Amino acid sequence: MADGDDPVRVLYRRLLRRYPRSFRARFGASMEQTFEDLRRERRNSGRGSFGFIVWAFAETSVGIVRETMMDNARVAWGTAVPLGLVALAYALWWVSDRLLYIGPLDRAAFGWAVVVPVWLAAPVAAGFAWRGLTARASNIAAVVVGTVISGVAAVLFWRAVADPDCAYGATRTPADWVLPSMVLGLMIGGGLAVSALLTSRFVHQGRPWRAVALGAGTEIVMVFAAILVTGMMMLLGPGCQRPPV
Amino acid sequence: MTDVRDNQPLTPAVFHILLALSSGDRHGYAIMKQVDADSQGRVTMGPGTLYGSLKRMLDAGLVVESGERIEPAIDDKRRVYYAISGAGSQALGAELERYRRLVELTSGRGLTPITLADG
Repeated sequence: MADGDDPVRVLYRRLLRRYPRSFRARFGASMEQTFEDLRRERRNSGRGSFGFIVWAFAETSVGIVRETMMDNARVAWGTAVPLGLVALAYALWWVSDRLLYIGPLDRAAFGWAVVVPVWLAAPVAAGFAWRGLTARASNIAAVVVGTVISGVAAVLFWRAVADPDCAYGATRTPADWVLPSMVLGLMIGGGLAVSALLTSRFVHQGRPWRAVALGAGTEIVMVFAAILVTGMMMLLGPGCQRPPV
Repeated sequence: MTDVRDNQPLTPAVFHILLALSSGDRHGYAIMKQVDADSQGRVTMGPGTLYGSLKRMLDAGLVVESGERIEPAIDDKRRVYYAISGAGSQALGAELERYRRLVELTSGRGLTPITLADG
């Protein structure tokens, strides 16, 4: 039997596949080699290897659980940071929209001075929070963040425009607004995810200032594009029926 | 994970790995053997603990991968050698200093394993 076909070795190799991909790529081959070294030592010393095999499989399984939990925690943290900042920006806007003044600032000034910077910080902070993640894990975090923000933005926009307060009914049905809301949501969520990924790539390359400039710059472009699209939709879209003559 | 910047105490696994590497570069199996010898068989590390600790130590800059092959003719290419870094040496030194102070303190109070065992 070839060494590579040894059933215990094959089983151990299969067990190692349960490690997170990045860990396996980095240490999988070395771990298999070390396991074989330990087995050989047992065999050469005339001690039985059954107990060792059970112990090694159990110990490695504990390691798999630990590494998987830490990997998931890193992705969860990388997702929570940008979502938390976006939620904070929305909460600040929501409060300021109901007040005339917030401290010395009127609500428009507060929007530009506080809400927009917090929003712009979201993709930049995400890029830095993903520093310890693999490219694949960063992509997963970006998809999660983009999908959540797209969905929430689409629903909020749809709720704002689908039911205008018209005495004689609206010119468009709520169903007419589903597709435009989805497009706008995708622009906002996708734009933030792309900005975060760009920031993350430059952070990985060890160029933090370029990462900040590019992440915030891309997000500014995406925000203005979304504002432009929203403005056009508001001009062309919603309206009330004229009173019957 | 131990934060080197805060000079926090090292975990037993990290301490023993640094101690094993302080006398030369080693691959995973050789680290295990050295830890076993240093601790007189009291610390047993499996592949899961060893490589999980090495990953965190590499990320924290306590150890580095060494390109050296101690025995290139017989070494399998899957064997990766690890070396202690400057930060790792500092962390190990700080830990040993902590132990030294502790021994000094307990000796000053007349506490030894024998007096404690006698009650």
